Amino acid sequence: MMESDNKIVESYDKPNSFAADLKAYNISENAISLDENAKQIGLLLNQIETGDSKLAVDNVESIKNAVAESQNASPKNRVDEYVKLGEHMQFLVMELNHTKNKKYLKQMAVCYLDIAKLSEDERVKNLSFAVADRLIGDEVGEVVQGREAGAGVSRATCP
Amino acid sequence: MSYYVWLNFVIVFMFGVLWGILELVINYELRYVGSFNRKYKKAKKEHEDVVLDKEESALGYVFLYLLLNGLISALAFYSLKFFSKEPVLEIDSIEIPNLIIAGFGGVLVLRSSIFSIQLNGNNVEVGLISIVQGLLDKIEKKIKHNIAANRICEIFDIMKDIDYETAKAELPSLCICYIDGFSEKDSKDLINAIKEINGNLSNVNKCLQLGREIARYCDVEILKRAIKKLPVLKEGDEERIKRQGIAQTKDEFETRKEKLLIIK
Repeated sequence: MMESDNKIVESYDKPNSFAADLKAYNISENAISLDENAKQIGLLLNQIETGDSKLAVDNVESIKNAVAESQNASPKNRVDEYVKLGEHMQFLVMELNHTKNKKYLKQMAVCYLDIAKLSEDERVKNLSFAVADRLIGDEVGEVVQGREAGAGVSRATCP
Repeated sequence: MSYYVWLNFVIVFMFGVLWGILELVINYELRYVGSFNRKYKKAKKEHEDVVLDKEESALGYVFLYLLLNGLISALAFYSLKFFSKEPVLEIDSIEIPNLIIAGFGGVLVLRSSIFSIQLNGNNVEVGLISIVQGLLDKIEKKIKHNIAANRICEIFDIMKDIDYETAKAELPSLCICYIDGFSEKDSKDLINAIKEINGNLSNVNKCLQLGREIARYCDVEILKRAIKKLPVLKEGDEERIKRQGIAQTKDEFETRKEKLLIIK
């Protein structure tokens, strides 16, 4: 008995396992909020108009799968699913970033930021920032383009 | 009355006293018997509210306990001589066998009970043991108070400038590197304890609680060294923390969310 106990102690990789335990505990503690945010993303996806883009359709399906898989998954698998979700969201934002879907994409990005904050995972955090920055950046780009276009028009109409 | 009479009584008395010291050393942290660590009592004004009164010193009870042990052993030696009808005042040598028997006998008698009774569901021993136990309980209580007061000061000194959110993630894993036999169960217990630290408390209070929880598993000295190894744990050093990617600061999330909600 003593021998087996010692083996458990020896095989326990203290700092790494502790960090993993802490993360798993955080995720299980925040499971309800994480699930709610994931569910919201799923609902918002239904509002997205994919049009003829097969890539967008595939990504929407993949996000739905990731949302479904993340529910009731173990903490580690849950984070993996959130990473998948983020990857597909990134593609979706690139593919569908036009006026009609912007409202929903923004809300999805906010939910995903919440997931990243609650899961405290570095990969999810980076993906959520990438998605949000993309949307914010595009908006800034559009504004700049609009101003430039406006300036062009006014210059052209000026005598 | 010869010189040997005194010598025998002193030896048997010392036997009882040493037995008592041994018992205290095994059971309690004797460095906390005295009222309070002088370092905190004299040098630091910031600990004034924690420094305990003289009454918290367990020294009085310790002396009483040791005296009782010594006296019982001496009484046992006297009884041994008396009941074997040997004149006590005519001892002319060191009676080693009698001293050993009396020493152990006294110690055993002091820790024995004649019978036990049930009182309000508790088992109460009737005999000299109840006196011993009463004294030991008093000593234990005082020592525990002193340990707690000292620990508050020790941990306060170590943790006062620490940023809790960063320390929570970094410090336990660094400290447990140095702990032998830190098991999976310990890991779970420590995580549960950390999770129970109330988020609404002040940073210092949370840091004190975190330090106390970690100090359950490792020496305070390890905690101190671990903090020195992590300079980014200092409060107000957020820029460096951000640069090193240690903490996910709330600002980063909130700023993005705000921007997303503003854009049309």
